[in-house]
Amino acid sequence: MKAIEVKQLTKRFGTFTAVDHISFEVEPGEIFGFLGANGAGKTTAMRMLCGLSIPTSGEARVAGFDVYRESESIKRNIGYMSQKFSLYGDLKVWENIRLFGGIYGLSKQQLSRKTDELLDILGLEKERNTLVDSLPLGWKQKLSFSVAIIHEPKIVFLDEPTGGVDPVTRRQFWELIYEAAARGITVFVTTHYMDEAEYCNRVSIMVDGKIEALDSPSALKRDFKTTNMNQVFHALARKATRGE
Amino acid sequence: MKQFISFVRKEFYHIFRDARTTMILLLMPVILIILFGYAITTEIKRVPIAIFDQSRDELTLKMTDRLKASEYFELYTIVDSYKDAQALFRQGKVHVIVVFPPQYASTPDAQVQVLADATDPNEATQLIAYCSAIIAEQLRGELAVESKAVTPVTTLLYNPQMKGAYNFVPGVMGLILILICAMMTSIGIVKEKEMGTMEVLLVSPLKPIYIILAKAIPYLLLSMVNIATILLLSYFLLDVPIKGSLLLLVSVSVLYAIVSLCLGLLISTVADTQQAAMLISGIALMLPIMLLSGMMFPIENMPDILQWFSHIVPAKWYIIAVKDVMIKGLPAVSILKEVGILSLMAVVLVFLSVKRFKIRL
Amino acid sequence: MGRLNMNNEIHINHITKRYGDVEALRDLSLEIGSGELFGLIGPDGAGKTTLFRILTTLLLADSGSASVCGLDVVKDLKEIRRRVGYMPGRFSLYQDLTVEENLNFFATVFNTTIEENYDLVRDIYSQIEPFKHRRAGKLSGGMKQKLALSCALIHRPDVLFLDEPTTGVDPVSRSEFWDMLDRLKRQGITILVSTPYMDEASRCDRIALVRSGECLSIDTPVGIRASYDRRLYAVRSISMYKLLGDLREFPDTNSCFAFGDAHHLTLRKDGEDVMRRLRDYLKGKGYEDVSLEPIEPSIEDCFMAL
Repeated sequence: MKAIEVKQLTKRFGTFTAVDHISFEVEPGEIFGFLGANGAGKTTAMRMLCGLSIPTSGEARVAGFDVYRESESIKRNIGYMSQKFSLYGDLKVWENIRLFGGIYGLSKQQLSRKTDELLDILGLEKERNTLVDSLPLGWKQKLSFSVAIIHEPKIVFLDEPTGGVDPVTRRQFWELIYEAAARGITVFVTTHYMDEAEYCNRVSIMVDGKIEALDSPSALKRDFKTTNMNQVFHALARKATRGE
Repeated sequence: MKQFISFVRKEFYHIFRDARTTMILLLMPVILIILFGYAITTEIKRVPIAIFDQSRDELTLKMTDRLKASEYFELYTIVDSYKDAQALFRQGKVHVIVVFPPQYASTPDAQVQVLADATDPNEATQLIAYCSAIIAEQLRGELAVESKAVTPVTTLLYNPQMKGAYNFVPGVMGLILILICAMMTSIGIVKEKEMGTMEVLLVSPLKPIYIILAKAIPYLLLSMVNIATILLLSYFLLDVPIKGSLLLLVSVSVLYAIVSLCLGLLISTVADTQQAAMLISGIALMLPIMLLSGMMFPIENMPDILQWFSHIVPAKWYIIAVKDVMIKGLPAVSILKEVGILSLMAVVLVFLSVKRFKIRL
Repeated sequence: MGRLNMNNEIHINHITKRYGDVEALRDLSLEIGSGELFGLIGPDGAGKTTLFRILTTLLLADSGSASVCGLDVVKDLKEIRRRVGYMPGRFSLYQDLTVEENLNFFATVFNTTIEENYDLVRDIYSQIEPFKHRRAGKLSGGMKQKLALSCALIHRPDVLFLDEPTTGVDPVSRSEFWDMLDRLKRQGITILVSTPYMDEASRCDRIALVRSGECLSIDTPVGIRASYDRRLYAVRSISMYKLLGDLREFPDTNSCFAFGDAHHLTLRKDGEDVMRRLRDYLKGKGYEDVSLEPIEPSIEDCFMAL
């Protein structure tokens, strides 16, 4: 079974087609980069896949569940993290972990084991009782990611997780992503850092609501006869006509 | 000046583009008037009453008929003993019991006893007053024929039908003006802080006083629309007259609106989020108005400390002034004290809020 | 152009700012020349926004002094507010006003009109003009940023403060944005811009690398890269993730970080024998396809080494 299966997925708002017949598949355990210019339709597409928005037409299955009819099952099987909403800043680190673990139905023993494990991996044992607001952004984002996969979801959606994070922490963040993928969690990630696009197994680039390119970074670079993803992105996104 | 006008125009864009809020602001007075006029009423109507008539002479029968005929009371039953009467009270079947002593008509100094259920003290006071008035009126009619002890004559001035509307219309005006001027202005300013636009405005040559005034003016105008709505509704729907000068009434309202705006400004210098602004204006302004302005509960009956506190509630003075002008039809000189107090409040509040307005973050 | 002769410098002397226990800025000093395009490069929480707010007279420093256009940021608040343009970190325009209404409003706030300074903003504004009747809240990230820049420029400021103008904006819009800054610089406007994207550093005349409220290094981008004192290697293989771990375990490794399609490696010692040992080590781990080549450091490498 594919982790994500999308066929001719479309979303219209009035006369405006935000997502225009996109099709792709994501394999289990894959790190899939979902790139595109601002306003290309990434957020809309991601919302449909998370079961937060009903498509206008087309088909999509996430973790084997239909986005039209089984959005509740989808939500149970995915994790989600964005740059904007991550954790409750006025709760302590462990309280956040307990809260989100509780939401996904972890038992008391599971929770305390998970909390220790997670703090150990992140090197945050000393910060257990710190309010999340007083952590540096990078630490927050790493914690936020670990909390998003605390229930071992099949797929985790990451919306610009590393914006503004310092370079060292940004790389540590990606190491967490690799570890999660190695455990079999499918990672679906958007980013504006083109070096991060290189870390993905495959990358899709959206322009004006359509997927204009989809392949591994090395194949894309070969096709566009360049040496880095930045140039691939520029070559495609410059074609954008809609200034949404 | 051009800066200022363009700022005011912007404020109107904000107001009208938020259609939902604007609708609420415009409909609120209508809803409040209808609520207070028809649903929440403190007027006495068809209150169940029991009569214990121990004399059953012509006079007491006439009085019973009068009580029955009155629109205030409805005869629940005639009882034969105090015991029955008490049972009715306890069951809550009646709120008032009128007791006529034996040989009432023939005893020169005989007195009628009126018992009222005082679990709601305000209502009880009113009920007793109404009862006494009806009985006294009947007695006066009889006086010409027989000599009877003279009962004090009560006359209800200004509000002969004892209509609640005469009381709550000024109250609603006091409430609406505060709500719109204080709450909306403070929210409007705090919103700029929250959205980060205040940061840009501060780093511009725009004078802070312009920012403040431009925020206030649209709401001042909006609240005048509301005052007009209230006056029209109360005049045509609730038959509340405007006895005094309309111009005077509007002027006092503008003064009060300015006080409210200043309160809003002061709140905006304290609050950092829209919710905080809403909570502060809700709790710190609405509650005192409802409770301490005399709109719902008479201030005279309150403990000293609350009476003292009520002096700093602007709505109290405004409501007194509105009643004087609108209901009693008194001229401007008679509300000098209220106007003076409100003006003083405005000056102090302007001073405080301009002083507190931060030119930095 | 009288502007070119004017003093549009920014001086920052030993500024310190504390929020409770947190030191946002620690004894920070900087000199920025007239007409310079100066970049503050550093992650979130480095103190960039605090510095901007102090320079735009929005905050008072705990100690130290600063001047903009020769004007003191504490005493000459009014004059500074007339002469600078400021674009705060988050989108600070009225979402419920249209593009045109926003621009008009800010023009009048600064006692000017769009027409008067149209030549300055034309470049930028013309790109969003087709959407001038759209509400600002409905614009995409790149468009919002162009509108915000137009609004900050509308009064022809002498000094422009841009706090993370490109955060969350896609790479194409970002490079367009920097092209615009280049053209503004040519008009003689001093520009202080902050960014968390290290790759944008090369677009500045000079940069300061900031972290935790301190300037780690101030120089031209070329100068900063030249001061990198280790040899840097790009290492590539098919299984990049495994390679990263193995490279870190190599005894002579100083640092190894993933950099897009290659890992950037520095060693404790340099020399042929270390390189030979490294090749042998990797071969021993079963890598057949490893490519190892010396490269020039990027600003990001320099930042991470500090």
